[in-house]
Amino acid sequence: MGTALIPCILVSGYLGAGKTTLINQFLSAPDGLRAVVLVNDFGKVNIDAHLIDNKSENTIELSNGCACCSIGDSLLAAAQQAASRIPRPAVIIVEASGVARPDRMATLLLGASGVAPAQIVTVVDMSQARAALENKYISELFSHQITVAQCLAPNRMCPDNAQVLKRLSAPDGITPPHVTGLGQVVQGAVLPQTTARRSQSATPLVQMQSDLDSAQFVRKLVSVPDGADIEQVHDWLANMPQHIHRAKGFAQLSDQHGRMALYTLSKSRNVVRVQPSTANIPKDVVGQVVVIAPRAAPGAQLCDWDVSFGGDGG
Amino acid sequence: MSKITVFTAKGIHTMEPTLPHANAVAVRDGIILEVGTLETLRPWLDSAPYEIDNQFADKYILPGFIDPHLHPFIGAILLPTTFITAFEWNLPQGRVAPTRGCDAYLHRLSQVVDQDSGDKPVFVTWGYHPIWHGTVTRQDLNDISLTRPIVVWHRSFHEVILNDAAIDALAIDRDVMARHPQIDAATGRFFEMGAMVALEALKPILFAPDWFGQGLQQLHQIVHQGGHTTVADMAWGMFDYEMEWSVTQNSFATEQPPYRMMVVPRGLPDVELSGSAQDAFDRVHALTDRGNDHMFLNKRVKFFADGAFFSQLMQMGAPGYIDGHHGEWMTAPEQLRDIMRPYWMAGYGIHVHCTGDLGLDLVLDILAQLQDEKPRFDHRFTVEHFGVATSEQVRRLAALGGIVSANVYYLHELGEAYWQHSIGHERAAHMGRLGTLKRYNVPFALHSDFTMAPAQPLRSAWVAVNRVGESGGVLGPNERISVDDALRAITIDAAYVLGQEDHIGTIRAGKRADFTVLDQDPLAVDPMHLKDIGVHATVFGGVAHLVTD
Repeated sequence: MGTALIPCILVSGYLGAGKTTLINQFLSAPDGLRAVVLVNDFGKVNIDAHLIDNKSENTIELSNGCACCSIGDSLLAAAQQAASRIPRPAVIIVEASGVARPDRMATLLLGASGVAPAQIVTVVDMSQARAALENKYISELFSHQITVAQCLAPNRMCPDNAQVLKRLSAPDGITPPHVTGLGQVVQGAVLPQTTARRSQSATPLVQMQSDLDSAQFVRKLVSVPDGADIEQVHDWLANMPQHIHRAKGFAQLSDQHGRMALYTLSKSRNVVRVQPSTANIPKDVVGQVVVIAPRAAPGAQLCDWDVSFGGDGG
Repeated sequence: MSKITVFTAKGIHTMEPTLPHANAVAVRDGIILEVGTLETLRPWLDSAPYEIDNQFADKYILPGFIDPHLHPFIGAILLPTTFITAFEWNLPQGRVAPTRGCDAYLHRLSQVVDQDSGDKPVFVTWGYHPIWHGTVTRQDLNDISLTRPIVVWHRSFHEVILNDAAIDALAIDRDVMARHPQIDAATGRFFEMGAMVALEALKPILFAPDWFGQGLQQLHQIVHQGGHTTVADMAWGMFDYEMEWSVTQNSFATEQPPYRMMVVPRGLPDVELSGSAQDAFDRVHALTDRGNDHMFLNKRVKFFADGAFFSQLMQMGAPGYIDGHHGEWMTAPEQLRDIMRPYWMAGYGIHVHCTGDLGLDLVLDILAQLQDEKPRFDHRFTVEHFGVATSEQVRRLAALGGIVSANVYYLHELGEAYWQHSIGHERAAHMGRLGTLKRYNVPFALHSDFTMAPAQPLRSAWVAVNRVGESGGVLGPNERISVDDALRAITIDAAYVLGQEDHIGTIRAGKRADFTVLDQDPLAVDPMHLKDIGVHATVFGGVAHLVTD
């Protein structure tokens, strides 16, 4: 097939979070990138008239090379159409509906030919976050949209930001890295492919995170080959250096009978778990473990952060 | 004025408590003149020409059955497929006997593929379920045919299996198959989001006029065979308001099927509420100024709260699902409230798809708030489906004046599976808790949500009365209801849910002459045989239409 997959960014966030604002900002200054943006409702897209080249029922063409298309009744069909546009888009940006579970949408988007696995950016209205977290109907969804994101775009900061952020984070205190605009995310998604020509096994989903390390934490991606021995993987996780805060990933491991299966690997607060998984994991993420350490951990220089899994069987 | 027709029967159950049983009913110009006996009818017969029609003399007549919630468009897509199912279905082509076991399934599939005329670009079968049919793979289907494209569509709609000929015919990208986590390229199995890849490619075939037209024709037959004389399309505009209206109206005009359809529009016309609720209301309201004898509107509207019951996406309150997953909102909670408000203020009857107990909490909170803002009596706010609920919620629903239209068939097909794999015994056994509704005097109807359940009201009534799971055990015996209550739920109480009780639902002077004619007396047979009672005919607007197998 030769041609690389088109990077895809899914902009998620609860109602009124500011998804459209983020998209509008990007469209008015796309940094030379030919983006196709898929939205639910044209009405909300607010583009300066002088930027509009052409407007039809389902598409707005912009003079800067970008286009904005209506999702209509099938996201898959819309994504497929976007990917087959000529000239080929540099990136596809999809706006999720407010109640969508972005991970499910990302899985749906995997069905579009020529489109890379979507990276999820969740927009958070910080001034509403506390209320959302206390609302019995939406707190679960609201947190879910944040925990599955590769990065967050918080806005409308408020005085109790720090407290709210703490509540938004996973139990181990880690929140995804923050961005202020889509440009950062798009560059992160587009650059590795165009400059480095990474192999098909590159993992944009996770790569994203190491490209955008947060201020407090450093992430590293470690490969665990298919068929690695389950006991060895367990020992490896258990014996990681003290300052390693958390590790998480998926791998195909073989048990003592030589049977291969998909496992979830995790280490958090020194508790190691290697459990069979029935989750639907994009295939190119299998065999990858994200290892996280505090940036400021004593004695932990970035360069001597060697946590690779012993590929030689040791 | 036309001649009077008097239908006689072995028994007429009017569903009218004041005069519950009779054996003759006089009709003229589509209206009931009087029900009683040939003696009591005498003054009518002395006043005008009449004929006595004894063709139902050994049958039982009930008010025409009403299904207050089905989806003609989904039916029209599905019906042209070939049904191979683990449970019994009655279709225009005849009864579909249960097929169980992997070998039996593949044998049956091979048979029907052989018999197929090949007039459609792909062969599609529906009803496969691994619990009953084992694992079926691309290779199994290739063994049946290397050239005929075969699509096996799962009972839940969320999965398909294709042979190589189908993969090629539908031009499915094999690169996508190789990397998609919900497509197993080796076995040709496309599930959940992966299934959308195959279904998207199937769409042009399923929505083609010949497929679709044939599907609507079959739908008319199914509705008739089930004994219905009125149904409601409980989400007009699910795909496209105008397209659905014109296609259905044309089909009614050419086929003249013996039933009428109430059309209940989807109240939120977009994916989400982006402008003002008043604007969305105005757009939908403007569509309602239409209708004819066959298809009519009645100031009712449909909304969606939480996800599908068959997909385990209902929103469950504590303690949630055994596997820890969560349900979904189909409409954002605050938007659901905002979009309902203008309809409530304008006096609409509101119907809300609501499946889990957390979904019901939300819907009750919204109803309470609307009642605060503008108190209404007799508003018929209807909880549709009513999958899982608590008795406290039922009591609150009663206090707020809400009513229920239930898909009790869930219990039969999913009760045991959800006990084992989803929400445990206690809550699974209490799904569709009609006994609680009865105890709190909440009126309720039964519906099929066809194609979620067979469009056979007597089958739904059978589940409501007996509450037997798939293996035959009783689930939630204290939630069983009487045969009389179950019959009310498919006649007069279904009419009540639709706001049509003045016109249909019982047999009494002045109502439409709509009847269902049964081979046996549903009030006399062993309740375990309710579903086996044959529907002999219907009478629609005074005209008899025999059901022919």
